[in-house]
Amino acid sequence: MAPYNPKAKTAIGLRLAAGRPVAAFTWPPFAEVETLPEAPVLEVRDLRTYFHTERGTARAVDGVSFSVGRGRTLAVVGESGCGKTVTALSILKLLNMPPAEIVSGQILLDGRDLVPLTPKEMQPVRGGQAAMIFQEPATSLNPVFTVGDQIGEAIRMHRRISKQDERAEVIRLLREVRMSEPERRVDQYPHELSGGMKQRAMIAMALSCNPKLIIADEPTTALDVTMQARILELLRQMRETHGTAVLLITHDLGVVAETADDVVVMYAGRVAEQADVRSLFAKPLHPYSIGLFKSLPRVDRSEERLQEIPGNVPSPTKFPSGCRFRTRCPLAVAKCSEEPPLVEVEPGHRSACWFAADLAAGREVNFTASVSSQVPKAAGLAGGAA
Amino acid sequence: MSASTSAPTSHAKKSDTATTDMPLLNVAGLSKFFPVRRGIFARVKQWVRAVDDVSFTLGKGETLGLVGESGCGKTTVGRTILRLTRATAGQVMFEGEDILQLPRSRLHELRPKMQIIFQDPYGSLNPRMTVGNAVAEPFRIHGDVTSGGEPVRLTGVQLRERVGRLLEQVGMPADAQYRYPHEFSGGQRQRIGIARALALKPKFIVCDEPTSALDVSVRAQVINLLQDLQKAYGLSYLMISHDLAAVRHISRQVAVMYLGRIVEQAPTTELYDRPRHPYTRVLLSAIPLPDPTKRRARVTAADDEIPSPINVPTGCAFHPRCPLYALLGKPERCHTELPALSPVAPGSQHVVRCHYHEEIGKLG
Repeated sequence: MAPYNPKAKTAIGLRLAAGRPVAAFTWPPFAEVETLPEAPVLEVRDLRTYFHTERGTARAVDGVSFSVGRGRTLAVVGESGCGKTVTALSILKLLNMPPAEIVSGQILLDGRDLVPLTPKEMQPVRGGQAAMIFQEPATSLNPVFTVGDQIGEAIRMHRRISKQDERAEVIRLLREVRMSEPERRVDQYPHELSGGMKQRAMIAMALSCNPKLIIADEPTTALDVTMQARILELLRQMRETHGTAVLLITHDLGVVAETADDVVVMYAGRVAEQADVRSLFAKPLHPYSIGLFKSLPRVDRSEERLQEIPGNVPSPTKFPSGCRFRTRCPLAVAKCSEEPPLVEVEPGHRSACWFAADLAAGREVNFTASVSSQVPKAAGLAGGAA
Repeated sequence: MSASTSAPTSHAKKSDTATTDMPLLNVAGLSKFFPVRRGIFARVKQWVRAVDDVSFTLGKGETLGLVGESGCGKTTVGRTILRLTRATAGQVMFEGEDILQLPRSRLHELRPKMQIIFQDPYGSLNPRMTVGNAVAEPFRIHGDVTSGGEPVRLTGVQLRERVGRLLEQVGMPADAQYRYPHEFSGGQRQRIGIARALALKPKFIVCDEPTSALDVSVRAQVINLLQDLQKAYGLSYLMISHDLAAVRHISRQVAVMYLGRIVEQAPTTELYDRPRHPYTRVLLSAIPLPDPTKRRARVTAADDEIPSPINVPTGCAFHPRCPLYALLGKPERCHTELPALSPVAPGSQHVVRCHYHEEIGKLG
């Protein structure tokens, strides 16, 4: 096996993604292939997942719709408590029900609705047609079994395979996810591997049955940046070589910009904004997304002061009525106590804000005036008095 | 800003005249090795070289960013400086006194001047203590030493008022003191931790990943708060973080650590725009930019795995992963001789620990 050369791979990968034919080959023009009417791999329609708790009903996911096509990556972004992880867990029905309940909606995987399926019917779907990669590779692997055992189990669950073939298959998968020395790793226990290697093992497990959809829930949050870059690159390659659809759950807008094709911005259980990655980053059309971008410190330039979104993310049992962002929004007016619909403001770009059209026309959103001015004033006061 | 004019407090001014042009903190040759005990007699078999010969200075009102990946020793640096962990060797001069040599009683007197803010806003507050009690704890231990004279014992209404004012300073309502930590979000808890650190008017605060556990929108609030407080009180920060974007925003100087050693240090813009160490290049280029129209050529390490700090590679510790080492045809110096931390040009503030930093352009 030739040594892994990341630079060469990336170059080809990027060219493929850009839709240009690679030199010396005559590839089918990719743009054309993509425009063929093809049913999305995953389509979520008006999903509502509620948690019935002693303190009332938490409407963690409340009317979320999106779809992911073959070989595409959809990123669901938002802060903690926005419902992005619950959305992911609802798709594979990995939530404890009760207290959780999918109140309404459809989850179409390859055209088949998963919502009415029984746990037994769900079994071949999980790991078979759709696989999941979790945030904490350390806790998602069982410490008392070797890596080979665990990846092998995933294969055994879904395919009939002999013991020798299974081992060879595991080593092949480990090699595919660029694990160093796969023949040795296969007999190692999770504690013998670094965080990055564990996440590679998880990806190998996810790939083992050639799923149509991979759900990656914060796959790189627990990793260092250099490892993060490698894992994201790996996911990108897997998507390109296998045509897998990827649903990426993350809070990191940098990761979104580098890996996603389309983005759903969630806030308090609802979709605030939905667009392809370039339009969203070029011109966000929801005050929340605008605030997120403005509050981001950048590694590639210096700013004087960050803008901040005042207040905190509301708790899921106490979401405000109407627009859920209105308690923190500088544009909020009386009308915002009515819920804004998610409307298409520009082609393919939807926003759930009453002022979306104004924002598209260039209206500014300024967050600075609200909270930060009060802090230094108070600080000065107390300093003087003490 | 109104705060900065009214703010410089009496004790800050006094020490300004007492210690002219001496840095607030001067760390020299700081090392911390942890023993690895193995076998039935628990004999020391190996050493983890967590921090190895780290030196830097920090001026008043300045921020030094200390960045690196997990396991590089940055948190240990913060803890040994405050003597929360005993150092193996080195000197930490704080206002002319070596913290590492001080008797306990004197150290206790100095403690109010040096504080720490922790990463985990959930773990750093006692869940059974009201917020007020947590913030008042420094006053219970040291008394009110902020006037500069004898410690004053604060009780009752006085204490509650003081705690309330501290909470307001960090943007929390004064009556938050009667509630418990679980009633607050991560960002609010981090504010409470900051209020507690500020209680005794410190001069120096170690911020150990203060924003890593926070959401994006709240992170900006905490960063702005730290900056406002720094302006108002002339605080010095040692900002320990793996978040290079936040560090760029808040620091004047940045030091990059790799396997226990500082490999590069420079004024912030210089370091981010013109990194000279191959590791800094790898680290910076790995950060995904929140801009889909920009795709940078990535400089990748030759090997993904960071070696164990028990077996630090010989010579330059980065050589097994170094893309420049590979590109230059594995020069012998890199694996035999530890490069010194030397200025990139005579008299420059930009120091780098690499034999071949002048060749950095070859990485593209």
